[in-house]
Amino acid sequence: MRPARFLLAACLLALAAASLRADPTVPLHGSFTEVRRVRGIDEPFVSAGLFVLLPGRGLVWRVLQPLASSVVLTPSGVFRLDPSGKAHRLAGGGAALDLMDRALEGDLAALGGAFTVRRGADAHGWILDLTPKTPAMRRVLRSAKIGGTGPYASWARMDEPSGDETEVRFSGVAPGSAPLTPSEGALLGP
Amino acid sequence: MAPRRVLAWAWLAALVWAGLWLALRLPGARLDTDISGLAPWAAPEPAVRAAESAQRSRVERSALVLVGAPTAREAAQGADACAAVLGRAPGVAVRSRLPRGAGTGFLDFYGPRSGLLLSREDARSLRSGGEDLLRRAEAAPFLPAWEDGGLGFARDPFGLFGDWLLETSARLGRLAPEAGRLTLRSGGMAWVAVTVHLASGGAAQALGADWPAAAAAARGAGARVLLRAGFPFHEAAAAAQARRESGMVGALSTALLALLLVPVFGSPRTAFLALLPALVGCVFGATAVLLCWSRVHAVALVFGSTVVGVADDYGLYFLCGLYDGVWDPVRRLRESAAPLALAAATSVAGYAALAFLPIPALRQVAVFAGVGLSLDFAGVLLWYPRLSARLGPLSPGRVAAAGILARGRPRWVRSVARGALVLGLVAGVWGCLRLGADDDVRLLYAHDAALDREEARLRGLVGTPGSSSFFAVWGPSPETVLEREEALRAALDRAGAPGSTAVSVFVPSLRRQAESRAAVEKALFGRAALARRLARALGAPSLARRLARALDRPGPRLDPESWLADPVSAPWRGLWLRGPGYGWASVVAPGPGLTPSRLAGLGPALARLAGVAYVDPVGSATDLMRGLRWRLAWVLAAGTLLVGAVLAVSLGSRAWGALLPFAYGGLAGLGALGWSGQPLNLFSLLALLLLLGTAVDFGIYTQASGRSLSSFVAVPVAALVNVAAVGVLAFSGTPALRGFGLVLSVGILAAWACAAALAPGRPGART
Repeated sequence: MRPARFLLAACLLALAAASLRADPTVPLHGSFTEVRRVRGIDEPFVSAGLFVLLPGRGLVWRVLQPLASSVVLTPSGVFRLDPSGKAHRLAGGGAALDLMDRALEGDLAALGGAFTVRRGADAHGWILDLTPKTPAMRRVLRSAKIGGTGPYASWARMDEPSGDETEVRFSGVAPGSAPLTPSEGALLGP
Repeated sequence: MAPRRVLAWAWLAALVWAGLWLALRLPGARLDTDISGLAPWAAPEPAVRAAESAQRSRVERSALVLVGAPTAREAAQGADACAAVLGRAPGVAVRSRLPRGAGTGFLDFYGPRSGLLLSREDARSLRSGGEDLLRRAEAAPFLPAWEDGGLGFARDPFGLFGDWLLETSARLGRLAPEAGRLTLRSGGMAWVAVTVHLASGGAAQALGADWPAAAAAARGAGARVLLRAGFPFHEAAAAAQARRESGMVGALSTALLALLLVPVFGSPRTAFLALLPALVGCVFGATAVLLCWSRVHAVALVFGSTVVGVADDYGLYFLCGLYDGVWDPVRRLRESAAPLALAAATSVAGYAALAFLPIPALRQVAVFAGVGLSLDFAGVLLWYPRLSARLGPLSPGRVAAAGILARGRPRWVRSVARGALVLGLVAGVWGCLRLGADDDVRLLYAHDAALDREEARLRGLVGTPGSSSFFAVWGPSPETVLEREEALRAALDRAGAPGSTAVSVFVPSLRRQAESRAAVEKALFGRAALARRLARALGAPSLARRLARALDRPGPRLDPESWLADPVSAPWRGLWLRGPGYGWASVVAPGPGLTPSRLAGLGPALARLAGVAYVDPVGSATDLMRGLRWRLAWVLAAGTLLVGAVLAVSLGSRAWGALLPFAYGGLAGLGALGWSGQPLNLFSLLALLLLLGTAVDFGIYTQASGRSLSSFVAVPVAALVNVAAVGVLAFSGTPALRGFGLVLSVGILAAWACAAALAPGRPGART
């Protein structure tokens, strides 16, 4: 219903990509490993997979481990794809969709409206520190950080008001698209 | 002072008072355009009556505007600009933003009660073991987005609350909260909703007046498309059209009458004198209506203006005596008093018949015409001899020309005229054979085609039906009403019409809540052991313990009382009713798929449901109109017999000549209706009723003084005056008035032609 975490991850990714790439319209793909700690559950959830970012068309977040499943974000909505490839539209997310849409186009000013963005650096590279400005955003995110050593983001961390925490490590991020499954291609359009 | 003079001065004083009172009162009078005012319908069951009244109030007072733009930001700016203008009018509450915390309220209220809620799909799935829910839950914590309903994975790992929320929000249409606004996206556009609520029905006209400025402001702020829906916009458009039309009918009629009468009398003063009864009739009529009713119906106003044409006949007939040679007003009054009295009595009787129909708007017409025409007739008797005393004779040329026209009809002209009458008869019969009846009450309403298209597009986008029909459900306790609602909704789902909106969507019955809770407990911890299997698959044993603890902890209760007390129920509170005589009742608004055939198929299932009734106010009003049409047909037949009897007594064997013009005119009018492709309805018969009064007048004038030149002039001029007065209605935007104007104007012309053909002997000298 409220795919906030996903949208925020996508926004962060797009933001990092747009802020550091020369050409924000170039597609990007890469691998990720995510560690999620859910409040109330002692054990962390660890997953790994691929992402494909196609500016103007959308973003694919394909989990390969421990179970194959993916989520596709497009300007017309958010869809969960089950292992058989069947798409389930997820309601909500409209406000973030609009933001995401513009982030995908490299419009940093749009993100500036929703977050206070602080740029910094440490011994490991650059860091963007994001704090939600609007009440709607504050309800789904306490704070977020994204950083990297090269032109692309290599890690992100999100803290949610519920107490859930998520850390994502990106690797092999490179320009260009990766092969899409037929279901993903159909959702993203030409 | 002679009693006659006392009466004359009293009449004048009454006229002056009525004119002044009207000038003060009319500008503030509220114009009613509601269909239900035309065809009031009352259900026998008190709960249904309460539901109908509640639903009508909801429909009458709420409207929706969708502001569309390529981006959500432009749409939002457009919506704000539109709302700022519309909200200026008193009594109009407009919102382009959701109240603060509207979205969070839903989760705050339902989150702690999530264990009591289960979507139909999940209930089915749990009954069959819940394997698909388990598979989804196994993938969920690794996905960035899934159907978690905002509770998070730890509280709702199987997404049951998320699914319930999804099912519930799908019922409410495609508008969803987004950045504090109700928004939807479709066809590459973002649409933001502006909701309008009127404090009273009277505010609709202010809303309509402000709309052009609001639309311009929205476009200036970035909106591309604006769509309106809701009764207040239709009401405003209909009221504006009724005002425009009644003004147009009055102005155009008066201009046509002046154009007609000045050449007939050769003097503006005499023509003005002939027109005076129209004005006087309207003043007395309108005053009487406003004295009796605080609200005037638009239809009464438009119909009332047709009195202009009828009222003129009296002055006209009186003054046409100028064609009979030396002018002696007192003698003219003596001669014409009897035919005028007969004509006034038949006209008033024709209009008075409307008072016997249980339609307030038509009663207003009856009072308007009855009072207007009676006092008009009195005015002619009391004042015309005095006012016309100093009229000079008509120019000899004018009288001679009329004489030539009257006497100089060669035999071939009469043959051609008779042939034309026969042809008219054949065409009339043929046209009548093409006639079909349509009593749809919506024909009484002027529809703005552009507004209808906007509403259809808006409903398509939002996905909510605009139907006025609904189900009323009632019972002795809230639980009974909720259980009956659930049974009804299940029947509607089976009939292929899912998606109804009802209180039980938001507050399931206690029985349903218990069933849901039991189904979840059984699937998670029973033989299927979904909780243990999920915990094992995820390698998270703590999850199973947490789920078990949550199930043992009962949440707050979920019942209509707690729901009504929470702001979350605000948009739907009007669906729940409580009152003396019926206990508890509710409104169930069916989904868009409830077609007439599905409704018919639902009949047996509905019959088995206690305390449930289908309510179709438009359909019921249409049935009422059909019944009234038949009743009016009998009134017309009885009226014709009565008038025939009166004529037989006063005119003897010449009564046929006075009655036939009505029969011929009626046939021709209905034939014209058939040829024009318009349907027969109550208003076509009303036209016939008025035609009875008018056409019989022609017959009376020609039969009573058929050989006089005055009658030769008076009847066609009166016919043309009537056509000028009511023929304008044939161009009305309201289908019913259009048919009414056509039947009456064609009928009057045909009746005159027939009356002229039946005139006894050649006119010329006074008899």
